[in-house]
Amino acid sequence: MRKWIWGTIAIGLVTAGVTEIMPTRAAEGATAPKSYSVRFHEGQMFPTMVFPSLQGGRPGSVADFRGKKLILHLFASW
Amino acid sequence: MHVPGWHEATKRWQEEGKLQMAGIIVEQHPDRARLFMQWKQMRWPILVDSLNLLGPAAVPITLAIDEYGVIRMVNPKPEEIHQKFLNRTFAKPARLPTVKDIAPDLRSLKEATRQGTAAAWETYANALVEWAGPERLGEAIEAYEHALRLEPDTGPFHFHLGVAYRKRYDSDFRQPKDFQKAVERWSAALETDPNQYIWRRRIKQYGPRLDKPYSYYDWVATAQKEIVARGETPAPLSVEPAGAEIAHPEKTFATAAANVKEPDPLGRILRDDGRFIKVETAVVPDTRAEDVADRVHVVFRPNPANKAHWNNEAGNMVFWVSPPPGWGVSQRLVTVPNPPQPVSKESREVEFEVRGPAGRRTQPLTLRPYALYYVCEDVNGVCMYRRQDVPIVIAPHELKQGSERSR
Repeated sequence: MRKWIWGTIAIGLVTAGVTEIMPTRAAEGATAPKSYSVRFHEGQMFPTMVFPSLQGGRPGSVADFRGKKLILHLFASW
Repeated sequence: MHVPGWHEATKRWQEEGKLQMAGIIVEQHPDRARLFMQWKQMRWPILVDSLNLLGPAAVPITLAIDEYGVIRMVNPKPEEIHQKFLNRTFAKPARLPTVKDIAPDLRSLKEATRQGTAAAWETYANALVEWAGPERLGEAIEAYEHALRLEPDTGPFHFHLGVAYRKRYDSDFRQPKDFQKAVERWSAALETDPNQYIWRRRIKQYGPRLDKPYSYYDWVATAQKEIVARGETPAPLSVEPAGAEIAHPEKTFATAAANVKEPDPLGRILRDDGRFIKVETAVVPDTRAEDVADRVHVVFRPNPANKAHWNNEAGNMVFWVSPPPGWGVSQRLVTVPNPPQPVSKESREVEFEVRGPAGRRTQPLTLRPYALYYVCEDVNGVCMYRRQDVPIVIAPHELKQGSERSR
């Protein structure tokens, strides 16, 4: 967990102009590998998907935090 | 800036009610994140996305999200937050999506599979994995298989199916080969998208030390100790990390010395063919393309049908593996210490690594290790010393050509 360096990869994934979260192709060209990864970008509404709560409470969505500014971490404890 | 650092840097604004902190974790075992939060004394809400339905290629990702749910900064620095986020006013979007904070209706999702589309089967399977409990993981697995029959090359279907297999393996509903099937599905997913690092990491979690950037869960023991020292009870873990999950990386493969005495070279010990102890194996490949190793997991479980149990008053269980010429193993003789009680029924796991000669591209190899153990049948029943042969097939690594190196 002391190495959170992979966040820097996500910075590289940010591309302006995409308005919805969607699968993208990593690179152009016939031999480019397919990419199922999603990019987050400024101006995008964060997806309102509902997930289980780690603390065991009711299901939750990031939309629950509307009304106050939020810092959201997508992470793992490894 | 990692998550505890963010927590410290923004504590004042959290306490003043100007800022909320929340997380979404993407691990196979979410309860480990609960322990981590307790250890670091972070008490903000966490949502669980073990299937990685949000879909980032890697974590951590930190997002500054405004009052309306719109992302305003991606991976900001904490020192930027006050000026560029907290002090700014953001326009309300013309339309805000409505959200129902309830688990999906499984019955209607099942009904939707009658459309016969891969997406409908996958949505139903995802909901079963997330919301229905371990007793319905078998149904989820069948639903993913439906989806894959319709769209066999879809990477996320393979990854999600792997998550379901591993979850079932970790539950009381496990079926033979669940762990191996999880690894195979994760590997198939990675073949479709070698740059999906969250998928890659599921394999690495259980894989060889050459393929590890660092120990993933060595922090758990420290966390548990420090939490107890604070007078608290550590959050329980459904699966304690062990073996590959806490192993430290190595840069070169350390082959075990050959001058170790084999315990039963002539094969004279009577065999247990699974009557007393059931054995399951899984081989986890290296996700890199070159200089590859495999990590082999072997689990021994007393057979409940015969009320078998370990006899701990006799000697320890030992496991022997002898590599063929040109191949190396990390250990030839593994000893599994007995627990203190005279009899027990716990699962015992042995892990070792194997590396083949360069150019092992085409033919699988079958290793023939064996275990020797003391086991008893029924309570106050007959106790005996038995050997069990454990054939293990190591697949060739030709499929990994073209995959990027992760480090």
